[in-house]
Amino acid sequence: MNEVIQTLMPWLILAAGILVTLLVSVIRVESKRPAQFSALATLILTGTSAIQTLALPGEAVFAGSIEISSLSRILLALFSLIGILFIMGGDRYLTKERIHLSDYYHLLLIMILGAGVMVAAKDLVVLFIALEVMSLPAYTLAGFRRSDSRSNEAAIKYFVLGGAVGAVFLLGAAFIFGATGSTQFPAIYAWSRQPATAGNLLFAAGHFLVLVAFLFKVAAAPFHFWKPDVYEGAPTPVTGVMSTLVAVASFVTLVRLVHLPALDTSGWESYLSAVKGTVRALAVISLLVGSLVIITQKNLKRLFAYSSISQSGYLMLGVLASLNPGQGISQVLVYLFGYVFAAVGLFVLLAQSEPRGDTGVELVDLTGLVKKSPLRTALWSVLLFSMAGMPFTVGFFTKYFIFLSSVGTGEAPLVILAALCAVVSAYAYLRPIGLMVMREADPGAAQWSGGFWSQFVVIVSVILVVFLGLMPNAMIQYLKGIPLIH
Amino acid sequence: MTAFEPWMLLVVSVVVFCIGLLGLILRKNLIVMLMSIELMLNAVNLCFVTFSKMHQLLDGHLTVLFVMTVAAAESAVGLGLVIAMFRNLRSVDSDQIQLLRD
Repeated sequence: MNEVIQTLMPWLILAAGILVTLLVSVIRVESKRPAQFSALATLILTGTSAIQTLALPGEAVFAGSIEISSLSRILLALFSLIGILFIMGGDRYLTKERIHLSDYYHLLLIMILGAGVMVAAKDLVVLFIALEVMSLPAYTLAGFRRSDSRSNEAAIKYFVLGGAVGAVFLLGAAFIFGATGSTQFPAIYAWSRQPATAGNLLFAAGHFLVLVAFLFKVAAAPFHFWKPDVYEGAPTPVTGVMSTLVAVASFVTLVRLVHLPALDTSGWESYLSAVKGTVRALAVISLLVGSLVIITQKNLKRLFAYSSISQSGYLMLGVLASLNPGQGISQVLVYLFGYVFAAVGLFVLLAQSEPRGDTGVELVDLTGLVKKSPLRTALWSVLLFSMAGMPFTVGFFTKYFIFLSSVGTGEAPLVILAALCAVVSAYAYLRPIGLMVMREADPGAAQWSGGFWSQFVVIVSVILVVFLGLMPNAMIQYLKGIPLIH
Repeated sequence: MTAFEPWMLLVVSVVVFCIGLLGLILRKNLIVMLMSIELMLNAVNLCFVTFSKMHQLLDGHLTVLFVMTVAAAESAVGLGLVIAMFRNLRSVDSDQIQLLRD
């Protein structure tokens, strides 16, 4: 029992921290500082504890329904970092929008716990519960600007879609349970290795439903239609959390679910090629939709929504590569880490604009920023360069790494398409820089003001982007050593 | 009269799930849409119990308890969001919410 507690320590600290934060926010309703500090302290402790135990061997707890491994530990540390950065960077935005309530902090912590359990879950039912623990606070946070109908709309849309997705996932889990007699990943994997099970229709239907549910969650086109609306309506720091935390947790889970059956066993060849064909098609559609529609976007949050749809496309290339024998998921992890470091900075920067009533932040708000605030322009530029995949930023290496793994598995035509899409969408990322530098300030352009901590978070993000862009080897080597858990 | 077979319950559960899905897509009242989500989750419960019976296992029965808990939490959050929307728009009609679009 003692060992179980030791293994679960980072998760237990987080769970205890949620209770403390909730308690603190109930006791001192009029002030949100105690809840904020409690949340920050919880996340710092969780992150340190997860990093400290990183080198320990993986261990299954709770009768094998959760496996604490280096994958789940490093991801929990990343989630804690995301939480810390958004709490520090989103503070001023929340005050400006008059939604700075202490409830924000424990809801955010519950989301992080859900995401942290989801990437560690080895049982479909535990996975479902973790998914809902992550999603329910996310719906609430998306509607956090209660008096703004656009925020309500985003929350309702997110909720209705998320509820349906949860039910679809569960139906898939029920079918898999019916076919295999278990909901645990290792049992399902062992079941699929038996010769007679190959291509079982009930299992295939269940697997399909489970994957569709997560394709909605990661918003791979054609399952993406909800994302721009939800991104636009939700408060900016919440959009940032959805775009980083939820996206990373969902994508890692999606990869693990793709590898649920032993696809390399004989008899599963036709199933494997069907899965590969589907992933290939999704990659093409996501890349095309993401990089073509992004050019037409004027609202910056919608622009980043389409950006994340095209990121799903690149990540699908990584999933496709992982379906080949001897390939791990390191290319997916490296891409996700690189994306997160840039996206945190971008969304915190976005939250620095002064509220403008009905409309969100648009491209026109960026005009002439270089005269008003040269530092902010420089920070914007570095982060947008990273999103576009320019050299000397982390975005370049993560894309390069994912392309490399795809070329190595014989997907050269797809890589050429992806590279063309990257070139096309680079226009959408470079145009804001052009507006900031070359254009005179529009009279209606928003004012920008950050405050120390918000600016600090952006600078941390820029330093990470540049540092990992110049020296990506350490990160790549480390993430290469992390096995996919079955 | 034919004997009762577990697969019949599976058919029922899939049909109920599809009714829920159709209700979610076709109906415009948000409260009805919430009910449709509940219907989908309960259809899945039936499915789990049936498979449990077929495999002679208890896992499915236990899963149902968890799903019911999650469904209760979900409808609480959902109703909260619908109330927040009703306060601003004085309507629970999903046609009313189209401020966000390209």
